[in-house]
Amino acid sequence: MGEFDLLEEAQKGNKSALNTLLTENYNFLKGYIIKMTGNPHLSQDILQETMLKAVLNINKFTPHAKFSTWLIKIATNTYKDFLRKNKPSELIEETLESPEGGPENLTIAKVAYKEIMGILLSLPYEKRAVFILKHYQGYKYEEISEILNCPIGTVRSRLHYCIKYIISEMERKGMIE
Amino acid sequence: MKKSNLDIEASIIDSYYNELPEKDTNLGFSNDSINLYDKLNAVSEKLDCLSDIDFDLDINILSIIQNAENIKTKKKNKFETLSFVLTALLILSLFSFLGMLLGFKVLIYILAFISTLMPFVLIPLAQIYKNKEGLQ
Repeated sequence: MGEFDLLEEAQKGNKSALNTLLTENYNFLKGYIIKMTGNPHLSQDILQETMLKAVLNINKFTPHAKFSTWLIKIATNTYKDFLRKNKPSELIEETLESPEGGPENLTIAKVAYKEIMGILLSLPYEKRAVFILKHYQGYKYEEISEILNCPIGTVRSRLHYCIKYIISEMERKGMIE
Repeated sequence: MKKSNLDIEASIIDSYYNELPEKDTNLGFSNDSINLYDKLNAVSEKLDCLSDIDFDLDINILSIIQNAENIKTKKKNKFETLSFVLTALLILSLFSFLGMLLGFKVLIYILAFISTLMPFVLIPLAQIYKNKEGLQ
């Protein structure tokens, strides 16, 4: 069954179709939220809240865009609401899953993760969202402008700002020459 | 017109992310452009370590769906209770108003008439509603 059929079924109240839809988009959404927050506890809360909102509002979804794009939009707004009510989250690296190659590689991965995540988290959330959506999730400027509800020009200038900021921070930390 | 350095930088970033219109793809190969491209590649390589990042999150999609169903049912019940109370209040105020306007003797006749007629209207309506719910 394709995404459109699954959506139709889910909107009619078919729980199994809804479960399939959410399961298919789970990893994509989880990846985005983890990169946005850098914190497993917060990621879990945002992911749970996003899925709950998606299920509650499934009948409001109109298939102009992909279902995953709609989920990303809900997640971004949920995170924005969280930031409005709470102070920014702290970076946690303890729960990183172990890469292949043993403890040495894990330590290297942790150091790199901490430094890069630190740079990303020091960006304001709306700029960070643009960068993650473009660099990691591969969205087009047009799609990002729809997700974040802002003009394409703003998306473009935010991405350029992020790139220049990341380059300067990496140069300052000696990560690149 | 010659492009400024900032415009060229912006175009290189757009081109790196495949966002440059085809007519603008000829950016030339000045040292600065090559330098920025190299930096973008180096940054991208470093950023790759976040591509496969994963936390073990405890999420149960089925329980989220169930939770949403409970919330929907609660909302529906709240709405139904509220509409019942409002309708009851409306009917009571209407009867009081009619009583004051036409006299309570006439009101009792009207009530007797409505009570006799009501089952003939409500029972078929309930049957239609039940059939509709059954179909859904």
